[in-house]
Amino acid sequence: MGQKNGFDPNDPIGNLRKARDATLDAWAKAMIDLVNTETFARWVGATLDSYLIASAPLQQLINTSMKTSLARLNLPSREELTTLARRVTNIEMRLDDIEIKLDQLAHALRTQTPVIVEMLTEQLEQNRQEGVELNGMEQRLAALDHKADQMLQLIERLQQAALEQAEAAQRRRKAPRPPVPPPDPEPPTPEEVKEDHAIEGF
Amino acid sequence: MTTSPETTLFPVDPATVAKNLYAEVERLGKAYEMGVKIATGKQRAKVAQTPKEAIWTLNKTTLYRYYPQAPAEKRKRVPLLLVFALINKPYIFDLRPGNSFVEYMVQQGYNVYLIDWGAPGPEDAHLTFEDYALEYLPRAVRRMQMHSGQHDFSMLGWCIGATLSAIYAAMRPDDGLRNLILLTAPIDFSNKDAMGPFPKWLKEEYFNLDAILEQTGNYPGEMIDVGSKLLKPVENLIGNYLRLLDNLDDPKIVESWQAMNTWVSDGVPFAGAAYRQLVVDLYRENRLMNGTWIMRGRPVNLGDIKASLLNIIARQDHIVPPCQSETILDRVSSTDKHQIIMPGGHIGIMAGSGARRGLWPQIDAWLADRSI
Repeated sequence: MGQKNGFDPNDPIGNLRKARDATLDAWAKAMIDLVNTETFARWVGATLDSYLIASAPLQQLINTSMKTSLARLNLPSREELTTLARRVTNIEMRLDDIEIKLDQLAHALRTQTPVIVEMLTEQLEQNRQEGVELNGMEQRLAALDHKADQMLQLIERLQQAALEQAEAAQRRRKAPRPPVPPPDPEPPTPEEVKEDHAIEGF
Repeated sequence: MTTSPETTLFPVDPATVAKNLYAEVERLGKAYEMGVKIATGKQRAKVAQTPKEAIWTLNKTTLYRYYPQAPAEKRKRVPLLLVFALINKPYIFDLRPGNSFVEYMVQQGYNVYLIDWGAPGPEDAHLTFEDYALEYLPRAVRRMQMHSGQHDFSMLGWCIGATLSAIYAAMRPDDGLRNLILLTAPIDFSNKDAMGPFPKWLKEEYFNLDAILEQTGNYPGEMIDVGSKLLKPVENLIGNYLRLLDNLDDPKIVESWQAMNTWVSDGVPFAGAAYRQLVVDLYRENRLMNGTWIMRGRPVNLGDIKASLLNIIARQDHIVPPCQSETILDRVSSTDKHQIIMPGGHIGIMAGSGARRGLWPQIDAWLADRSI
């Protein structure tokens, strides 16, 4: 089969495809160079600007009418929903913080539980040993308590004796005394005598 | 009349010509059948098929975890977090069964997590790179650490996802990030002549960023798609469809083409404030590389990256040319750092049919020893 430069006279479709690919390759390279020029960059910028200029009034009109319509229907506007969504995200973040802290706490509890159990076991064992010593101390405390009772009884007896003595003294103080004569009346003043005389005629 | 092939310049054998024409007619018949299926929606690409569960969501962001498939003894301890760009959707990591990086890594025993940024709405127009890298990403990492029970983790960022990962690695070096893989990372915007058309298109005198964002809020996904396609207009707008037309009789190629086309056309808006940063802070002012990009009150210093680093570059990348990625290696403080330059394009090296034998095993080989 005679073929030159990939040309196969027996495969017309294949030849067409190869010719197409070769053309496209050439175009592809040319276009890659073209898009990498300042001219193309300027054209892209200008195209975008024209699009923005053309679409801005329409977009503004749509936004205004949508806002009015939503307000009339007593529905929230886009801005209100956006604000609300941001607040929800903030709340979500706070919840995430709380959730992770709870998880850390749960994790710590899970991992620390064996340590805590060991600590508690040690403590119980220690308490049990200290319990023996406490029993000895209790006996000493009971003896002290007994002595204290004895002292209390003694104090009570002393108090009773003191009370009895006081009552005896009280009784002695309550016995009848000799009557004290009233003091001599003072002589009337000359003015009083004169007044007495003045009223003797009635 | 017969012609002797030996004696003519272009020997024509009518029987061969007829045979070739018949084969083409037969092919066109099959192609027509497939074309109708595609046009009527009966033939659809099945994408993102690896089983997964959503373990965390915040606003539009979702963190997925892929179910392990490898036997327990083969599983790696250190989880791997995949971070894709803010452009298009992250299922490019899990394009289709048999051609999925996620599926491959899960089969190799990695505990794979994927962060999906979702599609920002008008309420998200204020989100910046800072929000993504230092608010959402740390939360996702925290959740992954909690879910996996591991403090150490690996992170693979692709395209702008790699930029976000680099920011995270620089600003939070003590969070447990052990291995950092940057895939076609746009970091250095200094060599504008070698960066293709984007720096020219985005110049202040041509590109009226304020006017666009004032009208749109977020930068529309369609505009991003058109911009990417205009980098190679003939190839993207004509060549791709002709390739499909030529192969319509081959279901395997059709499936592959459809999956990729589904992903390419499945764009999401770029949060307005973040897009402004991409254009002004990165393309125009190269702030990340200069160390003048301020986040949380302090500059992002690439020198603060300490994690083991694997930097992957696509030699024929026309979106993020090698000059944008290769210089980071000299900036980081990582003592364990490597670079791989692969033949292929921005997406092809990771999602092309050759990736399973090309890049993926290399990533696995580098990461496996560092994931124990």
